[in-house]
Amino acid sequence: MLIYVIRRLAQSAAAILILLTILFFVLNVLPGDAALLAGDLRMAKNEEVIENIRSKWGLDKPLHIRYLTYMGNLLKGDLGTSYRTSNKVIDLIIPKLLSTLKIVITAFIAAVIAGILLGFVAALYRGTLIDIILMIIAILGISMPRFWLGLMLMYYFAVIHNFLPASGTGGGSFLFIILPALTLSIPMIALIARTTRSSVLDEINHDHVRTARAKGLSNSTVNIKHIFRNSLLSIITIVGLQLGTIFANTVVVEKVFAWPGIGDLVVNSIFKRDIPAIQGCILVFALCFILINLFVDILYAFLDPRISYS
Amino acid sequence: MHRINRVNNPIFIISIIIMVMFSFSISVMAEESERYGGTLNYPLPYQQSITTLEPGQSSDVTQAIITKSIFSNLVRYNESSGEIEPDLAESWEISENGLVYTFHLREGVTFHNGEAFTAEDVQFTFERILDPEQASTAVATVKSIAGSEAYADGESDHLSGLKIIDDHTLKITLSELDVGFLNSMADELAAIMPKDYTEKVGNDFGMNPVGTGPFQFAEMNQDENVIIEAFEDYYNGRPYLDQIEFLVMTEASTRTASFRSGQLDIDLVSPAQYKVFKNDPQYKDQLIEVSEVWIRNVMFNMDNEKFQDKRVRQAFNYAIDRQLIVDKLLNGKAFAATGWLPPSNIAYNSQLEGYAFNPEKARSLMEAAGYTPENPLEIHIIGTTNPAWGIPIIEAAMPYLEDVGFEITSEVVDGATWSTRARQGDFEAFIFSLGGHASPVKQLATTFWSEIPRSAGNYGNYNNEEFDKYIKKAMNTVDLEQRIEYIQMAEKILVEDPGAWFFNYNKAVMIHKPWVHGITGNALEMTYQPFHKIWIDDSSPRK
Repeated sequence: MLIYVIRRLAQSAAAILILLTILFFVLNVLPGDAALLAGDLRMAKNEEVIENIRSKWGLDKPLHIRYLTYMGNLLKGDLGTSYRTSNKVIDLIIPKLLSTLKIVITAFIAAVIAGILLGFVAALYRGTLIDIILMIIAILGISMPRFWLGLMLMYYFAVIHNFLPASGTGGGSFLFIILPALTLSIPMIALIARTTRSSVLDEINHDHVRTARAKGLSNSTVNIKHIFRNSLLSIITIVGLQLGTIFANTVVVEKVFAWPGIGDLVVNSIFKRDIPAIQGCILVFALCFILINLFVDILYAFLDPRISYS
Repeated sequence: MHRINRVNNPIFIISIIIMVMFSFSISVMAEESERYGGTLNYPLPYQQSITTLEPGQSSDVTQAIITKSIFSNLVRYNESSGEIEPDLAESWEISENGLVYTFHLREGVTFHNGEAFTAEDVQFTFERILDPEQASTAVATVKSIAGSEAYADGESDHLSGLKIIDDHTLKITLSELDVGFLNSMADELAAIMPKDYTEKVGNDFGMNPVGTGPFQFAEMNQDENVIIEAFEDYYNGRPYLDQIEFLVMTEASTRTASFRSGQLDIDLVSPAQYKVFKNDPQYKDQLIEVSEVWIRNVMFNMDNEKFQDKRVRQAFNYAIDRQLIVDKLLNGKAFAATGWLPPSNIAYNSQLEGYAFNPEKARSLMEAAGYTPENPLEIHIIGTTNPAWGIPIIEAAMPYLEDVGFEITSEVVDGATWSTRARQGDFEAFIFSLGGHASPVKQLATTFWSEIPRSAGNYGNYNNEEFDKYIKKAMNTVDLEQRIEYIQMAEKILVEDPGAWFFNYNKAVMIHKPWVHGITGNALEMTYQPFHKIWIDDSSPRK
């Protein structure tokens, strides 16, 4: 198992290296000069100033030198300095990442609990009105764009009922987390519910479930030990994938709720062509995605003894 | 016993009347008089980030919204009238030839850290701006001071054109006439910094700024909020508000929801919301409107042979019903443009007719230039997705243009790409919002004076000798009336030989909660509010 983990980590490191290299060159050849953008029209009217900024940021050096410098620093654990803020990129990212994690973790927990519960209920009551209603809601949940959903929730809860704050972080108050987390989690709930339902339905018809019932085991024992546990594998797969993409979805949600997280940071950095900050954010996204997937793969082995990585 | 009939006693009646009048006047006063205290929640609506709060290191409007309250300049713009008024300089004299400015500085002014303000701070600030290591964004504001180049090049260890007479008197000599020098001194980029403190903290100044303004810096969370607090010792008296929280909120719909829910006290209104608020009895009286100094236009690249013929550019201007687009697409949140100087500019020419919608004339001009709807002139226009000055406007104008002999293709680019391509001349035409200057000379010269390179603002590479002649005359004229006359002549020439499609002057609209008082229409930039004059009454949830 350890060898498997090490091999996977090495593969991931190579993947990240390739990703960052492609990103570096793409970002540098894209139209849009960070030094020009550092000032607005007034300031940019002075070529000298722009040249000064360019040399301050090392943008006057040839591309391959910049790339080698970047990679060299990266290996030393230095993500560089943000053009936009003059802060170390790592210092910029950590507080934003923590801020994003607040909504991501809340959304994720809510999505897993609600999604599995609703999917399980729908499967147990398959074909009934409950099942139909739940699945219609699930389809709606998956189909709704997060941007629109966020605004609707904001309008309903903050503007009409003044029950929850519309935007911002409120200095860390939990009330402020609810709406962005809900926006992030609703499509996830829907997807997890649908997956759980079909996975549970698959299990219900298996022989071992029939045998368990024939043995006279209680309904709850059959449901939890024999149906739910066995259907977990496919649920975990979809949950893992969702957790990986949830970071990408924060970009939209953070913009709508003026939540200063890493998604918001990446958008602001792109607008200002702040290449070190963009690279840093993408590195974090990639690391999260890879580590979550690795964790899910390892989890498989524990859930299903048939899977072995040795 | 002798009983007094109180009701019939005249003294009693008079005293009752006086009491009633007094209590009435108190209640009126209570309703109208300014109140100290409370927090104002103010949005930062632009797609810009607060990277530093050092004035000469930032040139985004977002930073300036805040730094304008933390710092003071030698002189400042009055937010309502746009006129220059004293700030740290109590008064000033200008020599007859317009080259020497003597500023008499206010005494007893202190920075937020208790440091006393003197002429040395001014000298320090201007020299810091010119220091190439700072790569300051404010260089243009002090460039006309004599000796600025020598100082920037390291040939001199001091700025020779700036002489400290005593702690509170300063003489500035210009290397050449600059009629916009006071405007430069009022620019937020040239705000005065404390010498000792800045020398101590160096480049960390931007994260812990100290100024002499009405508010002092309290807290900043990047891309989230900035909090400033009342400065008790502000030279002009403590501001009414205890605190202002600036909240970064770039999404218009998020801002609207936050404003309606009471989380924000103020909002900058988008065209989509303008109509809604205007028809809403709860809010229609809380709207503040002003014609801002921004001009939305389609800039023609004069180096492109398609635009060599003046008739083509004139036809473009005649072809489109700009008023209809303003009314229908922008919900009336703009003023159809007649030229380049908006109504809020001191040199605005109300007599200038501009181009009325006249498709027949456009068609005949195009025909004369050799183009018809069957044999159209192909033009590629780049722009952002901005609904008021981006590609959506071009899409609306397309049928008009195609009707007279143009064939338009459009390309959406982001702001960063536009900025680079515009400065490199990599476009046939672009749609954007330009301007932003209070000074009419700057407003015109920056974009159309042939001596300004493309990279510095003359994006279209416009070159008209007559226009240049009047711009130069305006630049060398101290007398304001005469200067305005020259400026208006230059604008007339520009309109006759159009370097752009003059679309609209922005109508900036701000909405505020009924408990907020003192909001004003600032033509220079609506979000630059006189925060030291704003107060909130008892009905505010953050009183």
